[in-house]
Formats: sequence, C-alpha cells, structure tokens
Amino acid sequence: MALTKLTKHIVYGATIVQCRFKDLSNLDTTATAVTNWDNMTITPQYSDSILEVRFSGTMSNLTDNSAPNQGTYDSNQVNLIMDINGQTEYIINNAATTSTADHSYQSSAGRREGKAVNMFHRHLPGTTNLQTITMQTSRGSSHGGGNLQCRSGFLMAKEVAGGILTGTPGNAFVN
Amino acid sequence: MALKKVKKTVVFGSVLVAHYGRDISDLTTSSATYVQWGEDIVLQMQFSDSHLELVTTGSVTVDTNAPAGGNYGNVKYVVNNQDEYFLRGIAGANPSRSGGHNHQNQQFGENNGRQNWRHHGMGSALYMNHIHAPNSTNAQVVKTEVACENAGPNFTFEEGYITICEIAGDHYNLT
Repeated sequence: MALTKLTKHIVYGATIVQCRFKDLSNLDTTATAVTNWDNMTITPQYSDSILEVRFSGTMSNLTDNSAPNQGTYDSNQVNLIMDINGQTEYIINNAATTSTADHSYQSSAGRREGKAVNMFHRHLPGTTNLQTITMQTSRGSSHGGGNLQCRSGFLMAKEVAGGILTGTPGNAFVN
Repeated sequence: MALKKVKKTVVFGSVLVAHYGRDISDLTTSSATYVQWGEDIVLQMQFSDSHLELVTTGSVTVDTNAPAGGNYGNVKYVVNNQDEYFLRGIAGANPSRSGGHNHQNQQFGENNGRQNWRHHGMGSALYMNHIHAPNSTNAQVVKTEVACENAGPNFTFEEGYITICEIAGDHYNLT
C-alpha cells in the first residue's frame, strides 16, 4: 500500500497547508470610486481552514494645485480596501489621507505625500472554492485634482489548517 | 529503538521550521545612499525548498525641514546582498511653488512680508511584508536598509522589530 502523508487531522496544533504570494502591479488613478489595485487567487484545501492575509505597500497622492484648482480646499481621503470574492472584507479608511490646505493663490503642481500602508486580516472561506483576494482603493474627495500612486504592493495569504484546540479561550476551536 | 520526531517531509502541507525575532535600534539618516537599519540577521536554512517570511514593523518621521523637491523615506530588504523588496515614499512630501506672489498680512498691516514655509513632522507607521525563496540550505544574511529618496531632511526610523519564519515547502502558490 502506498504511503500517504500525514494530514492535519493527526497533528497536535495546526499546520500551514499552503502559502501564496504576489508582487502587485502599480496603480495610478484619479478616480474617487472604488478602484482595483491588483488581485491574487488561492484555493483552500480544506473548508474549515483559516486564511491569514497580509498586505504591505505605499500610497501617495500628487495634488495638482495649478489653475483652475487654486483656492480649492484640498483634502484627499485615501482608503485601502480588501475584497474577497466580491465581498468587502476589511477597510482601512484614511490609510493614506493627505493634509488639508487652502490655496489662496496659485501654487505649482507637484506636491506629493506618501504613506506606508498595510493590512493584516483573517478570513474564513468555509469552502474549498477558489478565493480571489483583490486590493482596492477609494478616495473621499478629488478636490485639487491629483493622481493617486499605489506602489510596492505585496500580498500574501497563508492557509492555516482549522481545528486548533490548544491555547485558545476555553480550548475551543479557533474557527 | 527511540522514536524520531515527524519531519515536514511526511506532513501534507507545511510546518513552521524556525521562528526568529529581533529589536532594531533607532536610526536617523539624511543620506540618499541606503544605510543599514539594525544588524545582520544570519539564518541557516534547514531545507532548500523552504521560504522565508519577513515582517518588519516600526515608524518613520521626517524630523527636519524638507527643502523644495521630493523628500521621501525609503526602506528595503536585502538578502545575501541582493535587493529583495522596496517600499518607496513611506513618508515625506514634495513641497514646491512657483511664480511671484504679493503677501499681505492683514492682522499686522504688513505687505510683501517674507514667508517661511516649513514642511516637516510627517510620520507614518511602517510595515514590510515579504516572502523570500532561497532555494538553498546556505546561510541567508538578511539586512534592512533605509534612505532618503533625495538627500535632504532627517528621517528617523524608530521602534523597529523584525520577525523571520522558515516555512517548509512544498505547498506553495497553489491557485
């Protein structure tokens, strides 16, 4: 009889079933609506697994202060969104929001404010169907024009086997 | 015969082979050339098909006045002298203006007064997240390096902490 590998069912604690990762492509956008940055897929091997999702990157705003935008109240709210299979799973509002400035005279273009952005999230797919994780952004205001630059995105998802009994409150199952 | 522990080779999925963490000392730099933030971390890989999961947290602040032009903090992972992952523009700004202006300070009845505009104090939480595939059991030397995109203001990197995990293969990147 062929030997089979030990599965998570007989391991004390939990195993990492798989780990998937991707360098995201860069995104430049002037949109205020929800806009996709990039996505990655993963297929859970067990329906009771936990997906641990981590993301890091940078978001910076180039504000265009040239006419006709002079005098406008410039405050770009920049949000970071994690969407899984079309459902918004986690939002960090103001992840890279810029400062407010009242331009009483025409100032030149080119002001840019950058921020490191990140997310750490836990998702329970409850199925072995393919999961599509999409990083998105939205902005609360486009006053002052400008372009949002999303760079250095790195997305990682670990499938952690479910059924963990130890070290949890009341030794209950984690999921 | 004494029983031996189960190795990753007989487990379906992955196991956590090694876990390491270290504080990183604070560092201030105004150099456009990357300088090391913290110490070398040397890891001896247990398996050639393992992956290293690198995570760094901390903060960065622009401490002194940013001159005109782009002034941004950058950080990167270097493994065995190869650049692995960059985060550019994690904090900073691009102060600029053009044209002649007549300033009027109505409160003090001053006209054409000189204005000094200082731009500093911007800060950001820092989170770097990366996976590295050594494809070898050779020692891996991990460095975290930082720089100012255009030499100028002081950037202070504080409260750094790095964790590194060796995650055993072979279940990686299953779509």
